[in-house]
Amino acid sequence: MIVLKKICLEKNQKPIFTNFDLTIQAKERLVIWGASGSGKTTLLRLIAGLNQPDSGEIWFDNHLATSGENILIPPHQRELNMVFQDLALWSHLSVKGNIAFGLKIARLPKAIINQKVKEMLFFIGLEGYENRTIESLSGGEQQRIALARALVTNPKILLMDEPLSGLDAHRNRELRLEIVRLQKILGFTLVYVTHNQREAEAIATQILSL
Amino acid sequence: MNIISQKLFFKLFLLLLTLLLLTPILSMFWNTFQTEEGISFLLYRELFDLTLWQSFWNSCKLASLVSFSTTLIGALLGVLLSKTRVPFSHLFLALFVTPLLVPPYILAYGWFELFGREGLLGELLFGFWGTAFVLFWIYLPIPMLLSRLFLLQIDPKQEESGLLITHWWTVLYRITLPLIRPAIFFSFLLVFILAFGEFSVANFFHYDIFPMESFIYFSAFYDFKMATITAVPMVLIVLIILWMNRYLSQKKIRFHQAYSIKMIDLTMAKRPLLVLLLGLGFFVLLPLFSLVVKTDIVSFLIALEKGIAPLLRSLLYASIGATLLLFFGFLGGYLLEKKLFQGWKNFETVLLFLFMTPPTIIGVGLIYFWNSSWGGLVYGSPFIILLGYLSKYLFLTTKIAQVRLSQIPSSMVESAQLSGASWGQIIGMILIPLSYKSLVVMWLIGFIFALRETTITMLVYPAGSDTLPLYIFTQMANGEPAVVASLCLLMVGVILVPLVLYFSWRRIK
Repeated sequence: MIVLKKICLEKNQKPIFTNFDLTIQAKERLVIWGASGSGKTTLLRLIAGLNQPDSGEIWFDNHLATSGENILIPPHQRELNMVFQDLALWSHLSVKGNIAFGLKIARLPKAIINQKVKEMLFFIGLEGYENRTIESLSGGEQQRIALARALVTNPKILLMDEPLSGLDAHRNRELRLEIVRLQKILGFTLVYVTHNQREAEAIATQILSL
Repeated sequence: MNIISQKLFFKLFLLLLTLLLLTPILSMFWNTFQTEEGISFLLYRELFDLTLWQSFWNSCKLASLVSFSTTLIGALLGVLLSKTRVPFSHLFLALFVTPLLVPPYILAYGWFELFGREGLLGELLFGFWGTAFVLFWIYLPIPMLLSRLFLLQIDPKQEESGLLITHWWTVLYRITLPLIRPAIFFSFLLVFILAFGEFSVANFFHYDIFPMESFIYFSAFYDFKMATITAVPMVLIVLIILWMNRYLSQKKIRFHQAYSIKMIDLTMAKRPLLVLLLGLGFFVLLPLFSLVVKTDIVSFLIALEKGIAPLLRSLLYASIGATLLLFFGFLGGYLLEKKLFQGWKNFETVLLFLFMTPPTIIGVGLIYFWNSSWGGLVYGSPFIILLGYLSKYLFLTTKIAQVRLSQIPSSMVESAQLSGASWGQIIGMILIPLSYKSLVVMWLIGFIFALRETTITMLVYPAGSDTLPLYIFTQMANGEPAVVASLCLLMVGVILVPLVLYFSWRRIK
């Protein structure tokens, strides 16, 4: 469970959040929906620990993770991962290199890394793509790889920042279903940001409008 | 390595750089206040000697003329070669950059070989006009390249929206040129200070300039205090220019991935402009041709035999220097881009200060600091030359690294961070591989500038460690002209070969 208590944040002397409270239950699919500049991405980044609020607290399962401007639990220890809006795939690494990155950092044995990458590629329907370069993938395939990279370390929470914004309506629908399917199988908590109302309704078990 | 160890690492990095690069100059200046009666400004009364101010005035005149002329023509050349489809534009760009890459006195020697000392042109050459003329060609690439760099940052849509309502010349005047104004302004300041501090060309043409005062006090009288005191006005000028750059160009420039430049359709003007470029290119090639004409095969073989040891030393020092510049430059660029400390901007200013500071000051500072009972290992070894390279050129590699790192989306770093990568792993596994092209450029720039460096090396080199530029410089006074011309050509070749190799590699890639 993630709990945000009395979060206050200003950007360029403009209040983004004032005494903002939010509770996200485990395994739910929360979609944060709102117009540009409403603070959707900022909220994700606060949860991830990539940004700090001016004041307020963020709790993860009864552990205080952020207190005011102090990050008490660093991002990589929050058992979460994130799919960025621009996907942030590393162009110098292959598909396998991208997915295996977190596993290599965790110093898992090579055999296990290979197996997990294979499983992940199977999950997202891109078997045999291990050695492909990022540039050779289509937009939809890149989205799937970003998703696989975020999920391969089995995070309890997955944060997604408008991951489908660049796709056409057909691909968007296809990947939406895929995300819901994966969330149901793997059982992670999903916090999903979008400005598309239809996308929000298709994915969410709960919607937060900013 | 977590965030605390990152800060600790970079604090140590800053401490090391301060000790190696800044302390020599600061301690040199501190020494001028120490007299037998205690702390005093007494020695500074020497600055009121009027003969000293004549050379200062000469330097000001020279630097003003060179900076005005290069900025005006260099910026126009930058626009012409970047925004028009004039034939062979890349070839012309490479040609005009060449004088900046070779040691300045080589061009002076080339012009001297062409005109001699007699006659109207020879007499003009030896003095103000000749020095200004040669310096013009040396520093012309700076405004040209900076203008091009800024033109690549202009979104073509900005010009296209102007083109919908008016013709090209108005767009160029009202939109494009104002957008590259910071480049023009910075080039002017940079060329002014570099021309002010350049020593070898004026020395060759026997024109009395201010940096020579400091050099003479040091090399002829070994008087550190007076060498330092006569350097004070130069340092003040550097500080004024730094202030102007920092406070008069307030707008923050962010370098993103380059846009494709919106081209101007020349049609009718293409041919006259090509003729103009050929004319300018001819002036770049002329001094080099005069060296080719002067030399012959026998002289070249003699030059090779005599120059091989200094050449190998040059290559060795430049390679190590470039590697150090790459290493420290990357870390410096990372520090600037991440803004790890509150005073990060001061770090940039210090590097720019060192880059702009005349090389004589850096050289004298290094000797003063390291020529001590505890600094013998540095003073007596080529390490002192490497410190000179670092002091002078770290700004260049740091800026390239910063620009490249600023182009990498922060989400790529954050993504690695969420996967548990430490800052060291992020640098090693994400940032370095994503920056490898810039790293090659950083090394190459460090290598070429270290290879051409003369003044600092002239002051600090330990016995038996002379480099090729230094060897040529000493040979110019009494060497056989054909052999000197061959040595100059050898130097030019050594500098241009890695560049040609690099561009061939880029083309293949």
